Amino acid sequence: MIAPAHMLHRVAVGQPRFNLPGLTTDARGGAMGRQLVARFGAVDRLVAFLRVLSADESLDDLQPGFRIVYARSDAGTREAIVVMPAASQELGEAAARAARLARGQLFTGAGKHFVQFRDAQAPLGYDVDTVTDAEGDLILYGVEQTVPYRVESELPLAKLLLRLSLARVHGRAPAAPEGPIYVTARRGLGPVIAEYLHRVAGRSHAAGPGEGGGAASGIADRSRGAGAGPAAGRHALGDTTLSVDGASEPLRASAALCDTSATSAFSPGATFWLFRIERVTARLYRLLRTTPGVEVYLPVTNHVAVAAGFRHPIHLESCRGSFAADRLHLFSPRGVVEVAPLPALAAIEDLVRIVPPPPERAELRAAVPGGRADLTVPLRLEPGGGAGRAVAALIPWAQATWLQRLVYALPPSVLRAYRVALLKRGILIRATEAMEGMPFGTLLQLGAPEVLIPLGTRLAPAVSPAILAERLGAIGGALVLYAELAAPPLRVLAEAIVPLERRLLAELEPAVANLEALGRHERPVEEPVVIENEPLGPMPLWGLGRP
Amino acid sequence: MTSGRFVADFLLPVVHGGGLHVGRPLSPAVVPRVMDMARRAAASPPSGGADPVRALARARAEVAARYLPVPVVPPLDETTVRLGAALHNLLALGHPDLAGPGLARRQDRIAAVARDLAAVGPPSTAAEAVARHSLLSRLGEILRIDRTVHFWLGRQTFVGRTPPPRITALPALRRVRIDQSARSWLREIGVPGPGRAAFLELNAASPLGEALDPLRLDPPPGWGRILSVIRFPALARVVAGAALDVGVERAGDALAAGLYRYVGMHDPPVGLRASGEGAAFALRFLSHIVWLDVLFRAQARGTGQADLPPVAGLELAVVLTAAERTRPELVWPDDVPADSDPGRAFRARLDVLAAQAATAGTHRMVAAMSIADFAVAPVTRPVAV
Repeated sequence: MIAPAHMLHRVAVGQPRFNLPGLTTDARGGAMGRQLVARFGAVDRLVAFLRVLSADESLDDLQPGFRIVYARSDAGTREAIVVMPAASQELGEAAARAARLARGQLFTGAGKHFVQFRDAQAPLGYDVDTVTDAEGDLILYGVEQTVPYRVESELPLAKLLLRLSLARVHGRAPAAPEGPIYVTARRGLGPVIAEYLHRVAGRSHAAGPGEGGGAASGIADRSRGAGAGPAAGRHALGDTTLSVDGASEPLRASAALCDTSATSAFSPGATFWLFRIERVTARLYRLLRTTPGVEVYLPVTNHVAVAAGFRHPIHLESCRGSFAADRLHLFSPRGVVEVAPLPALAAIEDLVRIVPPPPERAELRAAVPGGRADLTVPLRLEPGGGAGRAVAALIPWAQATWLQRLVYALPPSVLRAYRVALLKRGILIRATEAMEGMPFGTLLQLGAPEVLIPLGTRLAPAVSPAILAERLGAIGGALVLYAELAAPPLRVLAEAIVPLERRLLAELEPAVANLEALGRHERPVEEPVVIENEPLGPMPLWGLGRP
Repeated sequence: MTSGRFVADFLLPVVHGGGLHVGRPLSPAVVPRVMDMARRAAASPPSGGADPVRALARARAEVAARYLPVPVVPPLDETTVRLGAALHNLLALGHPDLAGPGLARRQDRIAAVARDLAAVGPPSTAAEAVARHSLLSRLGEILRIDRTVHFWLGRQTFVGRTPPPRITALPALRRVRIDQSARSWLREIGVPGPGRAAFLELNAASPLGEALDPLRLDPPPGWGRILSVIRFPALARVVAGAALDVGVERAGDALAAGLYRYVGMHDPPVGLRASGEGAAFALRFLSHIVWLDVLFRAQARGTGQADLPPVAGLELAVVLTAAERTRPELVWPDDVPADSDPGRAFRARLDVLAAQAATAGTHRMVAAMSIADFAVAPVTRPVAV
């Protein structure tokens, strides 16, 4: 630290030249260099500075030349330093204000010499008496001290943006965003949501502009359409009507199946569905936000979206250049998911399950004489096949009590990851990834997508898994189960498969229903009885008597 | 603890829920003090503010209405105060401030007082049984929340207490993390050994809770205590309904196992003493549960028995089969002919139970027949196998 020999002095009005190299006079006659340097003692102050600055100025406008470095002074302190070009006088003022708010200091200059930026004591800025010859990558001349710094490392802005944790938005959330939203869903939930959105869009199309009185009347729900007249100005669609000041439009959505990149060889990347819904109603928005396994993101830029209910500490819309244009960044409280390359979204109507023709038509077709022998062969389950990975288990009812006991020991993540279907044969538990911690029952592997077969067996003939899944009907969230070698396959509909934790809670419901059936009043939820031990003080047994 | 606080901060939360304040152990002197306060409260006109005595009466009346068709307003009488003070002392046995050298001695003193307070004998009427139960009906719901506060310099555990604000201040700076676990006082923490006799006295004084929870593990259901409430028909119907809700096999097994202890006089000497009439009544009550199941539940339930373990209902089957073989009147009511539809359905169920009992072995059947013999005649006679 160099203190007394390099005193600063205030720049005088009309001062023609400066001792610090790189300082020039701006339009107001103040000292201004080509670059600005902001110094902060901690990273949180740096983040606060960037937050304030990004609210006023676009950080993209400061590129190139915007750098964040960690530098160590000769006194040993390690500080975060932001170097940016002094594009304009207004930028300098904004940066000075932001640095002051974030408890930092702003300097101006060029090369490696920087002098303290103008403040109330020196409206035209500062200049140095003499330039120091101290070693260092950056030398900051302050009013109180002059400190040379040696740059230790550099932190790219993009990296910093990806590392920061999201902050929860407090206060009342808006009913629904104006623009499009992104929705991510677990792989198993994707087809269900796609069908739901398709059904919603189909209802809106079916209602049509003419139904309800004129093109402007938009969409009317079949169930409530009678009550929503054209004169009402707003049009009910159950949960999907878009009513924005009298102008309604059908729901448009698109989706893609995305893969996250694997973080290591031991943790494969996850697969999830990504939906983009152009305009969303308040009710649908609320439904999506409260559905387990579904996360809603609000786009900030074309390539960045932040989880609903949260905000990034820095205004990301002013940092567009920090995110690659060939990928989508999804910021959530658990971290950032990069979808690369950009997902190719397909219209939702192209993704839903194709409904087979009605039975009447099939019978007519079967009645037409073919004249050729049928080539079909039955699908068989045979012993053999390699050692697969267990993804499900079938637990006979006789072992249901074991499962009930085991449930108390399962961690919350497993309870959320497991889905369950109650079958006549037993309890089918389906894991999202791999079935772990289930020491009883028949372990099942995937013979084809969503086709479960016992471990150590295989399906023959070995047609492609996609065709198998399609022919067996293992689509749209449904499962097909081969419980054992001789048993016929069993199709478990998507509606019958519910999260394990939901099924556990549902078991509580009959008790209430039975009370009602017996004509008794349902007991209100009572406050729990909780022990509150009070201090006993000295001699707590005084006056108690002896046995 | 003052009389007013005892009612407001202990008796009322026991019934209504909330923070159950456990302080210094109470001596029998608390009873007249609380009674004086209750008399003064009854004499004064109702005020606009919260009156704990009246609030307690309202809460207990709501509980009592679940069990008796006629409205019962349980009074804040001496029995109520004694049972409440006994429960308070039982809870105080686990107070963390008592820990340290000499804990066993201190617990013995507290437990002795609690036993004296709880020794009020079995209820004499159904209304009295319900009134007592209205105070102790939520015994199984009492929770103790233990919190461990981790902070940058260590951690501190608070047993059944809320950490003071100074411990949790500046959570971000001091990296405060609170781990808390809620445990049931009755099922998970348990009554300390010295308080076991007092707890049995408490159950004998208010046996309806025990009768409604036949699957309780410790102490197991004792017929000497249960009989004192199911001798009242209104309460017997409530207890039978609770057993049906639990499941005839499960509840029947637990109650049948208790019958061995009752007839063998292995139950603690609290409650009614073993007698032939008592054993016969217990057998008829078990048969009554099966009758209810045959008449109202079996068809609706269908074959959904797969969630029971294979041995479910075995004790019940053995005891009822032995009773039917010894004297059919123990399981057959007088007014139901065997050739009627209900009679045939019950006969079919008895046959199923007999087939199940055959798998239990001879020695168990012999023991069960001794129960039936005891019910028929107080002196057990030898049985030829």
